[in-house]
Amino acid sequence: MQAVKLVITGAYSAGKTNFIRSISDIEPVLTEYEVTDPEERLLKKETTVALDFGKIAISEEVVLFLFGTPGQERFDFMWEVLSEGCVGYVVMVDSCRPAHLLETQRLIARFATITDAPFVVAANKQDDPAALPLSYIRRRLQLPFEIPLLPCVATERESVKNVLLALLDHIDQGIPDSDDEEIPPTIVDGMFS
Amino acid sequence: MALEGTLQDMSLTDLFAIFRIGVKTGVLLLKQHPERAVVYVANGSLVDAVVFNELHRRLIANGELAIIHLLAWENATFTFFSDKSALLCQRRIFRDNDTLIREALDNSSSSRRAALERSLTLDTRLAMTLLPERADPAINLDLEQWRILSQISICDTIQEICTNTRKPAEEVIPVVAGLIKFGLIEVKDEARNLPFYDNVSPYKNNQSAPEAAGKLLVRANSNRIRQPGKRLLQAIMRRVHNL
Repeated sequence: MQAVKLVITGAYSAGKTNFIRSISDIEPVLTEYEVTDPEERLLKKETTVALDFGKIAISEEVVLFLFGTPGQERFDFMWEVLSEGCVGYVVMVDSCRPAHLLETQRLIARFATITDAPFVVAANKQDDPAALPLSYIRRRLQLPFEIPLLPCVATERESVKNVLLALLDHIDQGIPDSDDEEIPPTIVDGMFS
Repeated sequence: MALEGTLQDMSLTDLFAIFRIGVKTGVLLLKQHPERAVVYVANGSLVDAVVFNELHRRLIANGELAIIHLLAWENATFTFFSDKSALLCQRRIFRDNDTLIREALDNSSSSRRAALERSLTLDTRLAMTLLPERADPAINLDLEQWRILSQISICDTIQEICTNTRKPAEEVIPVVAGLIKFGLIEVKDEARNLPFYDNVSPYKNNQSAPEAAGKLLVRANSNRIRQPGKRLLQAIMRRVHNL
């Protein structure tokens, strides 16, 4: 089996688990535990301490795997492991929490040191009338225009699909035309069978 | 659902800009103990505001004065939620956001200048600035300012300037404060970054990460990792599209 790996990352409580849950073929394998930090408990009661994992069957031979990273920075040692061999990643940011922006900026910079893979940024909760506009989010994240920033509602399948398609398109743009031969990507034979 | 944070995360001027750009309608609640404030926003513009002291149950300001008062807050927590009832709110703010922000900044500058004047004493030691680029090239000094400035190189303290120029401290100190503001002189042996030199930017928390961003751009476009072939990628896109 050929596995193509995408990583879904973002600051704490950005909506990564919902994102994977909305699109995965299988009920995602979640490793959520009760939050102990009182400040974090205000945001959510359970959190992903290891990883979320979902998959989308492309064909009998090829599977797209989605790995969600733990949001808290104290688990950032996991990011390196999860990013190994990923062909692209989604950075999620909560559009209703300005405090997330600085954290996300740090996360983007950190991820850039971990992997060379292309990425897109998904601004979650854009269905909220109070949500920050994309232009402001792009400015605060100091995001170059070449990096796609997409509106997202992590609980809606169509919205998640659009983000994934944008990421795949972004990855596609980075592949030279001459490199059209079918080179298997991150192949993890038998690992998830 | 609401937009929540602190003014450390996002300044009030940024919030007002967001309301205008996003043509938002709703209510902004702010809290900086012991004060609380409510700002009503209709179709992106501020229509009314009130600031009150929760402890003493006392009104501090309303309308435009409330906005100017709020613009001095730095550590408040805020919540903005969409609420169409703000459209029905009676308008008590008539000037646009930018005018109010400018006025708040002017007030802030005046109070900083007053604080600076209060901090200057006869024993305060002065020196010409080491960084002339700090000075505004378009400054026009009046005769009094020139007179005091010319004393800096030969006088060590404000007391000496007063003696040399035969002027009372009450006249010299404001002129000295003005010259400090222009960046021509500075207080010796004290913190160089006086509050007056702060860049009063309406946009806070724009911590730059140009290096990271630059790297990202290069990395995002690089193709060093093993990529899937175009055909495989397109097959994946078709599948995701049909989900």
